[in-house]
Amino acid sequence: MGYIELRNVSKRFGKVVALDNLNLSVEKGELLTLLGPSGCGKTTTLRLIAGFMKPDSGEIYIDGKNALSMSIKERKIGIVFQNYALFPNLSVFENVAFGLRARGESERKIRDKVQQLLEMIGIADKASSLPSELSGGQQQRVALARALAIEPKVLLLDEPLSALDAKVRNMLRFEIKRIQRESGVTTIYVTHDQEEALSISDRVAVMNKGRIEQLGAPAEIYLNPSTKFVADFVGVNNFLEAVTWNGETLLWEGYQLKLKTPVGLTPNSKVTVVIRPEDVLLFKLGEIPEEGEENLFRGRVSGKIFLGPITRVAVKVKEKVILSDSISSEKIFSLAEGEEVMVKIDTSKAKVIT
Amino acid sequence: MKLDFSIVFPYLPMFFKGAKATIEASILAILIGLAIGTIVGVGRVIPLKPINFIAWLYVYVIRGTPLLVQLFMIYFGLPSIGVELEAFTAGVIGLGINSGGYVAEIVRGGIEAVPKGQLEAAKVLGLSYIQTMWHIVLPQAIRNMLPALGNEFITLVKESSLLSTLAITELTMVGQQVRSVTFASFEVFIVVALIYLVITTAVSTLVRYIERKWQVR
Ligand SMILES: Nc1ncnc2c1ncn2[C@@H]1O[C@H](COP(=O)(O)OP(=O)(O)OP(=O)(O)O)[C@@H](O)[C@H]1O
Ligand SMILES: [Mg+2]
Repeated sequence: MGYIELRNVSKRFGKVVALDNLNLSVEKGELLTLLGPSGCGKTTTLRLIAGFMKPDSGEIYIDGKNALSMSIKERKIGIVFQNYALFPNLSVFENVAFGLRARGESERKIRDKVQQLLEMIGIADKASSLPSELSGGQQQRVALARALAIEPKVLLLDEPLSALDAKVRNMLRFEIKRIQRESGVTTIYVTHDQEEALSISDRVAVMNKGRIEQLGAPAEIYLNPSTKFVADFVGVNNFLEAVTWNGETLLWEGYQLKLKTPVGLTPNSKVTVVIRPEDVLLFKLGEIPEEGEENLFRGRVSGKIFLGPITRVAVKVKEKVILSDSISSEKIFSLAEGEEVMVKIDTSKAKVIT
Repeated sequence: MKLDFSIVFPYLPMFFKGAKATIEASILAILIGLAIGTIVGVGRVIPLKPINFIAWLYVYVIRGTPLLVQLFMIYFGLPSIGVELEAFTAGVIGLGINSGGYVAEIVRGGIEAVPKGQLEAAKVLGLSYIQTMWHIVLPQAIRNMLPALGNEFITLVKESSLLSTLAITELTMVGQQVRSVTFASFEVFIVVALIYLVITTAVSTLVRYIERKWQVR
């Protein structure tokens, strides 16, 4: 049994099914991310764990005990919201001390603990400031310290970084990870940013429509998505709708597409082949022989975005747009819109979804 | 036409006595209104349905009926069930009860303007509902409420002129008395109006001062 365990949890709001028989098991000490699009039920999941509301059906266990018979206070939860929700009338110190005071700790213990937390999050010099005098990133640090002060059993973070700008976000992301690892607190982190999810999590649960579509280590989710939804959500991907021809050959847009590993399907089954943009190679006309190469198609450049070290090119093959990521180079820069190019699809990492 | 204020001058001490009564009645009514308004306003937001209903009913009745009728009920009506109040007492209580209905709505608005996330944060940190209200919500709510409260106090000062109908010698009543002996109606009520203006200006200045002090915190 996991440290946090949700069993067949359902929650509706009127006609909206927010959670649909959700099952989730979070191991002690891990950082698990709920990743999914807006409205898929991430916040609802956290709110049920925190005890702000009750599920319509199903069970929730925290540390082996039935959470549904525990008060919010008894659950000992630390929570960090997207909008910080600091107490604006109290200083940074008092914000962090708040939970300890509420639990009747001694003044001495409070002082030591708060000082230690403020140092850990790097804002010890701001102890007497008001929240309004801090930057967004600093405010979120305070919120994190406030949540950790009561030494929670469970830390819940609901899109804690989404109100911050990219630079601060990237920095805080790793600090949250570090602090989480140091404190060893079991953490559920909610985000709809796949990069964030993949970079900080021990495990990622991809949610869709109130259910968990796939749960696994970041690399597993990224490299081996089990459904089209996961593949789509977790990365930029090409989805080639094809039909099987024989074991390792598919028909796509009238072309043959050869796979490296055969799929055990009867001919003429519909499949989706997921190809990452980095596995789509671009060649200028005449750069490679057109005959005798597998999975080589002729297409036309329809757009180009410079992403720093990588340039993403959209190529139209027949009427389908295929995305290709290449190392930014003279050759790629020189591609003009409408120019004919050769597209080679490397299917060795292709994922076939039936 | 010519205005001659010299007729009014000998009566200035009377005006000041009237102003004093107006100020006293207003301050007492404001305090009563704040007390009632806080209780009723909190009663509208606490998670207790019957209390919510009673608080709602209070506000509904108070705001839906004329202040003058409320004053008459207290002064002329209550004696018929054996509660006899002095005119001044009845007036102050009536004004306070009335103001309480309006203050309640201001209090409710101020409380509801405090972001819900803070309440939830306080809850998980282990605060009871009352502690959360006291330490987190009310301090912020008061700040949110100040401008609206200032308006309410000014309204109350002006409406205290209705106390003249209970034969209380507050400012408006004094005006009527002086007019009946001098017949200088316009002059008399210009002076009365100016004194009201001084009082209401003092109230708004005070409220703005408090607002500024709170802003810094
Ligand atoms: N209090 C509520 N009343 C009514 N509907 C609600 C309520 N809370 C959530 N919902 C609905 O339940 C569904 C799931 O909401 P939830 O907030 O859990 O989504 P989310 O995954 O956190 O989305 P986001 O990324 O936008 O925060 C949505 O359709 C939402 O509109
Ligand atoms: Mg959400």
